[in-house]
Amino acid sequence: MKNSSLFKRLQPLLAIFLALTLVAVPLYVAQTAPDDHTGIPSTGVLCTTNPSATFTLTASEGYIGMTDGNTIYMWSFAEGRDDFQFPGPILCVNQGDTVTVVLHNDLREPTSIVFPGQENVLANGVAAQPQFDVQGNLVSLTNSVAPGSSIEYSFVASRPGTYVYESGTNPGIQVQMGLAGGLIVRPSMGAGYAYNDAATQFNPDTEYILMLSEIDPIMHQAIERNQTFDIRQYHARYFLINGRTFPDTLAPNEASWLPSQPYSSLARIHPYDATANPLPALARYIGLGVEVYPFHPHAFNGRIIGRDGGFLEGPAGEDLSYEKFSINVGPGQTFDSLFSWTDLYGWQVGGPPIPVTLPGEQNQAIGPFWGSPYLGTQETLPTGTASLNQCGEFYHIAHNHALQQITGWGVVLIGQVTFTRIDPPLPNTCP
Amino acid sequence: MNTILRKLTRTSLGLLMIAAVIGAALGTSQGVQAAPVGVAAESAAPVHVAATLPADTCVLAGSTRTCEMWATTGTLTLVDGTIVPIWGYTDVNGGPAQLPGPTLIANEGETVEIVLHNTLTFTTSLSVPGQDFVPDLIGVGAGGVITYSFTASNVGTYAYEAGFAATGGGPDGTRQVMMGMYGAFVVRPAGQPTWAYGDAGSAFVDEALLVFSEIDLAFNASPVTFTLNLYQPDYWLINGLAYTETASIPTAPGNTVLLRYLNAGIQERTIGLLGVRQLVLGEDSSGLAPITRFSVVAETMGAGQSLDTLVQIPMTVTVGTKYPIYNTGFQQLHNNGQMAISGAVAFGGIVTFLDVVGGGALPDVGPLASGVLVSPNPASGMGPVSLSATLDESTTGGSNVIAAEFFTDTLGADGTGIPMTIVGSGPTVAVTATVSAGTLATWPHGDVTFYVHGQDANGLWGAFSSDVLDLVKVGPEVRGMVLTPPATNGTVDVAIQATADDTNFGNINVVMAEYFLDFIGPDGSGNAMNLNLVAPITSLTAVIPAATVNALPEGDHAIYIHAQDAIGNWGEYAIIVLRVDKTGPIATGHLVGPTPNNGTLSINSSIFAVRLQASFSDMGAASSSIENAEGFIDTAGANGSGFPFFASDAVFNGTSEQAYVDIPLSTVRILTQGPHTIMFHGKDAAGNWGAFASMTIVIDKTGPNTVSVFTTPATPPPGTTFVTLYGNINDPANGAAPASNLVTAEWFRGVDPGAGFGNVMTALDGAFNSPTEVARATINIGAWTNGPHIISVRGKD
Repeated sequence: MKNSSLFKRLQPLLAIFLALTLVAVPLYVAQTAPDDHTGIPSTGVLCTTNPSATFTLTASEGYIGMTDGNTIYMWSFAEGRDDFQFPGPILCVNQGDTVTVVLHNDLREPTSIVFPGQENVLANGVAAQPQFDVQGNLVSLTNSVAPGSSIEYSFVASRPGTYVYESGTNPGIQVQMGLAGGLIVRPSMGAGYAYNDAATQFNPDTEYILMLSEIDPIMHQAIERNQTFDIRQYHARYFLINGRTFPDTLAPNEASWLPSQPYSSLARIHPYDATANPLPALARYIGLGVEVYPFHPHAFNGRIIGRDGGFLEGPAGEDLSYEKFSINVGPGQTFDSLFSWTDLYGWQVGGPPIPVTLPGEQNQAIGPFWGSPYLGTQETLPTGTASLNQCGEFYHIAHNHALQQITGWGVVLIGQVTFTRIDPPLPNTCP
Repeated sequence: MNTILRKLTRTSLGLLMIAAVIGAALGTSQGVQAAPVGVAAESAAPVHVAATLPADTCVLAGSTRTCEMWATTGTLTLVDGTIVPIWGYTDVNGGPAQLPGPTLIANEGETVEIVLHNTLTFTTSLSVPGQDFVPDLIGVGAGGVITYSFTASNVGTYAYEAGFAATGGGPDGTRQVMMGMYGAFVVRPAGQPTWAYGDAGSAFVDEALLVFSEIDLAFNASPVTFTLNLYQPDYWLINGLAYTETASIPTAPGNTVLLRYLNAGIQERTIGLLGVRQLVLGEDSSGLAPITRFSVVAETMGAGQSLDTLVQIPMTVTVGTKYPIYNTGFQQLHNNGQMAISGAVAFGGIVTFLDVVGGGALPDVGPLASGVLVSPNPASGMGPVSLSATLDESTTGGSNVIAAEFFTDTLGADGTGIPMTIVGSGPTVAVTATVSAGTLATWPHGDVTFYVHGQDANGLWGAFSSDVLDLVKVGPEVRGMVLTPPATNGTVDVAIQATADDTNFGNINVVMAEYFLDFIGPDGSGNAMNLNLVAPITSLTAVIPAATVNALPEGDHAIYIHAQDAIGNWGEYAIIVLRVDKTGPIATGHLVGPTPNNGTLSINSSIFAVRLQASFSDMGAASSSIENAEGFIDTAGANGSGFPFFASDAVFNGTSEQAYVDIPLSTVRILTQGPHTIMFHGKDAAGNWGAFASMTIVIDKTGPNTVSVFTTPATPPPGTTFVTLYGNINDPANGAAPASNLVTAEWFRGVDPGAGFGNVMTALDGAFNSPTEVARATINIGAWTNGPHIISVRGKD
């Protein structure tokens, strides 16, 4: 595929204005620099790795916080015996690895893990199979583990790509309760590629994951109280990216104030440059909800290169990738999207002027990230306006376009929303 | 008979066994489409294989395929026995409606004639979306017959369903479809009954049709009047059946299976396949060009859409392999919200399986590991930790366990781990190992995951289980130290308060804390502190006796505090400084108010007082802040009993403070004649009163004397206008009061106008600045009468 085809003609300035004016709530200023204490990059995929691709996960209970202040009881997978987190750890392995996952069950009911897209999964050494009770009724999509016990799953990660892992036991409840996570298999071609194809090379500093899910707080409350829940009454109220609601989605990885929600979804990129920044960013979308989320990153179209861990190529290597401005991420599905941002018009102070006459101040809405319409420039703002803009960077919103799902219990902009931040070309003054 | 059925016939012995298992698992069939005759005749138990398809249906004459159907009513018996009324189609004259309707299978290019008999009580019509089918906008009335004719020009999987014609006032097409008036219409490529589309890449061996729909009991109960925006399904169906009645799709190792999905309901659904991928051949039977086919785990279908996928069953599978096909949103996986015995939501709805008939025997595997336990946990590593587990071969072959090993964090090849000791013998054994303190000493602080597995007598290593050791080598943090008082002169006890917090260092209980004064000794040899409770966060207190402090030299002394967790880790020292200050502040000062004073002179016209201004300073190596200051007049009383000074900046809190006090004139007035000493000193936070400083106020209540008065000339001649008046004035020492300086003088003629109301005189020497002055005035006598005039002079001290 060609980079130039990524950059469909559109109206970036309009998008910028939209992004800047849509957002009228206080927001964090995210930093890309590693946290001083942990060395963890503030944005991008935060992989859990192991030299022998061996992981111990514990199904356990805990709580996460919504931006509106609500606290939600959850079940999820913790790494080892560590503290609760949601979603489960992002497991990153290499193609060809024999992946071993030992699952401990600290819940009050049996649980399990299915690995959709993986073949020949073994459970305790034998082929994983759906489980039936003595009446022949299906009780689990795969071998499960009783409370207090453990089970070993293993498989050879034969195909690169992005995958789901999630509970296969009582999944209508358990997956909704949070027993789900993402699995990334890096191709044998190298960690800088999404698949074994030179065209899937991306900038390893700009690799992102967006795990989309939703929560019915009434259901979670019922489960917390060990009450039965009539699944027909299911009604989602919160819509999450990587276990967070906006604007927590912008907070850095492992933000101290989100102790159970370690994963940021802020993308932070630089403009495309044929020599300085030639490689696109990679976004890995995972559907962990119950329905299709039409996820729409503003600015340039993404190019879909993979589906459910399948590289989009024909039998003779034909390029089957395609551009999308709205990615319909269904439950259990994954999409890999390459994207970048090009300064098409080079609008800047002293350069080509923006062909827009700004309205009077009384007719302007000033967003909290407003800096200047010129990338890399910070201009004087009207008196009384505060800005979180750090170095003249641009922001584009990226959100679920089923707009009722950018709400949190009816309040707008507490849902599946995050930002793509475009920093000025290096060298810049960005922190 | 299609390929799979022929194949099954050839392997009938294996099929009988599997069929028996499936039949037992799924219970009796109910409302199931009849199984193909070939299988049913040979099977000992009912088998749900309804999803497989014949090569074609209906009656072919020449190139015209005629399908005769009756639109009628019927009932659907749901999985839980609930019976709901339906409308639908049947290919049996006089029979009840089937759900879904009969599957119509034609070949590409054939003319299809559908003869529809309407035995319903209202008008209906038919549509076949995706085919070159002329929409019927009129329909056929109750009791009528209509023939639809079209060419099967498009290959793939389609729906036929009630059309939108609603003449005659009956229920509209939407309600007719929702009541069950739908079925599948399959078109095979010309001459290729085992290809899905027109290329060999779409060839299949096995084939299944899955028609998805849903049932809302309330709608079906009153389909004509139901308010459609209240539609909320209770059951989800595959081919009219909800799991556990859904039919498995039989296949065999190495086979290619064509799955024809048709979403005949009104909800969107994403259908996934677990364990093997699906190659998407076509969506809405818009067959993808062979090179553009792509593989997925799950694909989404909107209402009315169809999807054809190809699944390649691996050659090597174990016996009993099933690949679940299910709604990956997990919300269409139950029957009317029913619960399982366990209390969980039971599986129901849209679930079925690709059921692989045949396959290799289950492999022998090694023993199962369980109950992995590292003890103690958390551990400090100062002593050894023991590792134990149970290995059980009883369900995996039954041979003896002959070896066990463990790995930490990273697995190696089987047999390369650290060996464990087997306790006892047989297929179920305990295994143990010990990790020495010496080994633990080389491991960093943090989590260590132990993976344990065992080997059976056949040499097979089994699956792992694990436990995570919390290796904590760091003790609690101490913070929030407070000393009361923070500075002292050794006359009072000093209280120490602090917080010990282990939450970031293993979250282990804090069990002990101690402090050292100036010099750190060995752990545990310090002065014990009290803990308010044994917990990961606890409050620490201790008291340093006054005698201990008093024995310390003046200056700063470090107090080192650390705490110990329950597994023996002492934390880092926290330090707070105790200041020992035995020297009081230095006082200096002066009087702002007038002195000498006769009890009437104030610092200004609004404050009737004499002001003392002082400064107090507690500088130096052992300085502490000023806490208080006081003064005495003439006689010093006990410390703290004097009159208080006020800090000029409102609060005593610095090591150097400005302060003042106003002595009211009423107090001044009662003082005796003569000088009085005002003594004052300050107190520091360490409790030290400083040495007195003093200042003097002079009380002088006696006025000056006028010694002599004369004029020049003494007797002015007539016509003299001006004379000069002189007065010699002095202020005598009077008892204890010294002579005060004169400040002014005045004269008057005749009657005294009162002190201060006479005519002002000047000092002959230019300034009133001594107790003895000559005052002078020039008097204009031009208007005076002839004769003597008495002029009086007086001064003020």
